[in-house]
Amino acid sequence: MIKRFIEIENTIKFKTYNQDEWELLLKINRNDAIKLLLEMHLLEYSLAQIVSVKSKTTSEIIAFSLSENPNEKISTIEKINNKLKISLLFINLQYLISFLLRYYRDSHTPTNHIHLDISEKSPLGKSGDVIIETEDESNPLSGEELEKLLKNV
Amino acid sequence: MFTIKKQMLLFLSIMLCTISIINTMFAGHIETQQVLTPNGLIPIKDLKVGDLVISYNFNAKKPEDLFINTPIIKTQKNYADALYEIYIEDNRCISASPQQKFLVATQKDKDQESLTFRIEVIEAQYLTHSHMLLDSNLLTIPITQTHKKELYKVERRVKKYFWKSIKHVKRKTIFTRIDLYSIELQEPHNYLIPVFSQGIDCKDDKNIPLILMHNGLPALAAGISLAFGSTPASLSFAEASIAAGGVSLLAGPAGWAIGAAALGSYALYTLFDKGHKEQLFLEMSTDDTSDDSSKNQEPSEKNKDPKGNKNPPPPPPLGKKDRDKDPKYKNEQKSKEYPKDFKTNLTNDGKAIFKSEREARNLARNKIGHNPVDIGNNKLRSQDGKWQYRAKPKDITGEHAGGKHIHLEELNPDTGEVINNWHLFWEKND
Repeated sequence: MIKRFIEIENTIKFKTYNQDEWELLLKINRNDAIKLLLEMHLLEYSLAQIVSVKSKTTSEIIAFSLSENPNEKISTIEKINNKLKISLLFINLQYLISFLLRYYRDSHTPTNHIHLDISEKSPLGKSGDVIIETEDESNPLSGEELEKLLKNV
Repeated sequence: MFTIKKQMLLFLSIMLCTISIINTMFAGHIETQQVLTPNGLIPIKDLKVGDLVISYNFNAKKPEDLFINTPIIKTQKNYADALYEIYIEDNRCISASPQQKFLVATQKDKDQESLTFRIEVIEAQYLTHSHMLLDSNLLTIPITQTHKKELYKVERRVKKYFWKSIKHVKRKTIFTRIDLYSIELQEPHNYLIPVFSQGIDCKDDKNIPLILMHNGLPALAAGISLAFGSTPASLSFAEASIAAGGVSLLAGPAGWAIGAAALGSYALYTLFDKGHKEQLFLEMSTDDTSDDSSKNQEPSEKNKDPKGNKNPPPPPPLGKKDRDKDPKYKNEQKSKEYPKDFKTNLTNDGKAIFKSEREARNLARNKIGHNPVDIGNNKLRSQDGKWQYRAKPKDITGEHAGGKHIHLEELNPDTGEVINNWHLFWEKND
């Protein structure tokens, strides 16, 4: 089993709001995104089994791995001390990689954050979010522009 | 013991008080207020019994039945000594008497499912920022400001001179009452009024919202208004009635009669007041089991909007949770199974910033359409499975991602794959 470890410049924050609500925020800049992207590709091609991500400024560690259970229909998360173990479905991994690739290609992302789908049956609580937030986002559309865009959809 | 003269004076003063209370309880609009009818916008003062106005049919089963023509069964003219000015965005203002009833939307649970509203009937005097008026598409319009305009208490100092020296000074109250017009309709007891922008010429005023009003004619019986709500005025009336009853014990046989009448009216008020609160609270519910709905509907040729469109836009998914309680809707939901949504490497994320929360929500509501299905985890799916609204409490409070937002997702209805994930942010709170 190959375990990888990277350290990002930006922050990882884990917050709990009440017994059932929590949020894991992984905030990255473009340099972090490139590092993370390569590590995610290692997971994608099964060239690594666990990728641990730590922030230079905060104590939380996220350990990404690919879900090995073929019956699993959604990614899962568990927390052991400061370590948050995320077992990603292949399709969620691809979504994350795609988002990071766009960041790498354009130097910005179409939106400042994405949510990764995580099981509601998480031991952390029913309502939780894994959020990847970037520092650079493209100029958003105005409400009118989006309305026009979606008018005939 | 009171003399007959004193008893008569007491009787007259009680009657005057009652009449005064009844007058201030009158619901209505000023004469220039227009109402939407099949013939276009007509000033309320020109409407007569038997004329048709356009009403929103909450029991409609098809989009073409949403707007129905409803006959006026009673009109009334009265006057008020105060008006409430209800302001909405773009400096639009509605003037109405304090008792004029508005159909308003309030969020059922501010922390949880923010797209779920209940519809209530609230008098103008109790409207606040937390209420949202409803337009002809049942889209919410936030109230920006309310203002009570007193039409009396204009005091003038009158000085009377007698040989260049001041004899005495009087304070005089000038009552500048204004005429009010009210209409009473058959079911569903609502009508639409346009709200023009102040400071813009009517010709240049675009996107004029049509606001839903509840007909506000109080039912008067035997000179006693039974239409009292739990208003301070009605409470004063009740207290006054009890006091009159007490006074009558000291005032002899004539006083007993007055007291009995007053206490009787209070008993009637109390009796009718029990049901009144229920009447004032209308949960938005499309009760398909009700046979009355068919009675209220006019033939389909008449169900045209003022522009002549036969199919007005469908209303948004209001009262979703209420529909869930309806067994018929439950069955409908069970029969439809939607695939689980999932994002892929082909999913496009996008972001748009709206001027207000209302605009962002309106777009989401328009897309997810009528009767969306609650698929859990703070997600509502359109009936055709193509659009999905998603918002967790933290999205709406803006605790992450740099601002308050909701999600509107375009899905592949067959697979559940998210094609586009739009993040709808807004600049200001409504």
